[in-house]
Amino acid sequence: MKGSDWHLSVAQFLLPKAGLLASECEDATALSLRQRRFCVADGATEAYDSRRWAKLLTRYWAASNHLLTKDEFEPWLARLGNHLERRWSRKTLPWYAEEKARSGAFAAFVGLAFIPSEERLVWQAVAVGDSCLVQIREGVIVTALPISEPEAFGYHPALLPSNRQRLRGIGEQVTVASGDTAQHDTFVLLTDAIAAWYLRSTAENPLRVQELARLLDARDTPGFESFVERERADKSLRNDDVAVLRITVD
Amino acid sequence: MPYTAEISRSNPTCFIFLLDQSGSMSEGFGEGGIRKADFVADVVNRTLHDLVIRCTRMEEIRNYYHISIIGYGASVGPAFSGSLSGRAHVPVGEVADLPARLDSRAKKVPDGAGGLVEQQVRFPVWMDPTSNGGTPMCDAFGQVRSLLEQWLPEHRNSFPPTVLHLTDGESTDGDPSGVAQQIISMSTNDGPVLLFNCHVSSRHTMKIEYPGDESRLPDDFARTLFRISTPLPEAFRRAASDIGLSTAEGARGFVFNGDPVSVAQFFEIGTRPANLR
Repeated sequence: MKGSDWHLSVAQFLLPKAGLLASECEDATALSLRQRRFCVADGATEAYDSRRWAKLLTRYWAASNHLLTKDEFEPWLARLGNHLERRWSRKTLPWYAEEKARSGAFAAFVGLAFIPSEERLVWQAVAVGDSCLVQIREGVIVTALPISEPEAFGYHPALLPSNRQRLRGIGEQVTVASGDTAQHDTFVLLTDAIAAWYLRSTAENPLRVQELARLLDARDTPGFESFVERERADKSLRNDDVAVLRITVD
Repeated sequence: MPYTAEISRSNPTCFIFLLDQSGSMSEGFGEGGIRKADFVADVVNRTLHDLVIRCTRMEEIRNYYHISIIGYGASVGPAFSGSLSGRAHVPVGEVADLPARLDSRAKKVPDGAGGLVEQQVRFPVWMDPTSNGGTPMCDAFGQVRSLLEQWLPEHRNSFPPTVLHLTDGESTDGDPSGVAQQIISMSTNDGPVLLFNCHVSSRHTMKIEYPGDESRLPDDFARTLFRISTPLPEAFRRAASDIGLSTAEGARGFVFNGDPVSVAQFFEIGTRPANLR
């Protein structure tokens, strides 16, 4: 089968922290089925305008047809960061917003693109920070990046900055990877809290992971919300924004 | 497990800054001859600045914290300057919007080429230095107890209040142990009130930071302050570790003979509960 004949089906969910409004969620997802590009981003809560930054990063990355190498990231971020920060300079900000804006916005990001050829479908991924890609084949995790162990979450990862002054060396922080796709492979893009849960539960409680897969298959939004609420209540899942984007290859 | 409550707008926590403003606070402190009162006012203003910044989301301030500053010296009471003058508990949103004034200060920011460049920034000031009179510590703790008696019943599920007490000398109105013990026996459902004490000294005597027991304490006054200092919860110990201070399990929120560095670190560590939503 040619790579271009393979079908990609997608399910996605986005939920804010418990107690916050959907409009306060700082995670973002975007996809382009035509370009076969999928991504999630996690705006840093303590930074300025990170929700908008996460949305901008995902929207522009999914719509682009490049941005899969370390070298491409710095000039791209400089342009996009400038676009974001121009909005702020048009306003008179109170001292505290001005102080936050001076440091700019930050976000973790992971993007996945499928590139078809005559014989196969290759995937390529770029990631910065603690948003993750997991590839599952026949029920087993075959790739997890940029973090593969649940204990490795919770530290201060490098993030994508909007501020031009903080861009120096950002290319070195980008994880770039690629691999082959097999029929029925599943790829899941996750922001940090649910990624940590996913990696831990795959090892310790695979039934919970299967339940999540069923909810994603059924696009069952109320079921997903109850599921997350339950996992948060029993402290398996940290109370953080949640973004999940799953792609199944058939 | 205590000290794990999430801090949110519906369950805010509370910081009470309890500051010695007695006459001896006008003495020099550390290198450069800055007065203790000036140094402490500067550190408290910076700490309030950082608390506001932590609650800033775009142009909005989320009211995660309620803040009190109580000064004691010639008089005892709220120590905010400007339009918050006389206010006891102030939500952080109002603190943000109502500094007494905005000064201008130089700040070093990255220049994009791996170096730093100086930039003028606005710096809010909420309290001014004061140093007058004696050290009525019992009266001061009494005011803190009254504040907590008002605050706690309305915030049963909140992360417990943190009282950050700074003094440079012994109480002049009696032994504060009784009233301080009453304070640390108060609690929310998430644990007892936290009381951290920082004693500062103009003399270059050996400082003792966050001890776990009394064995190295030089006198009765130090032991009194140690006994009314609560242990540092895990999140505060992590905050200490983040700034390079290693603390033993059971370490108390207590500094004796602190120097300027100790004071800055005391307020940094003491305002770092985790779990901000």
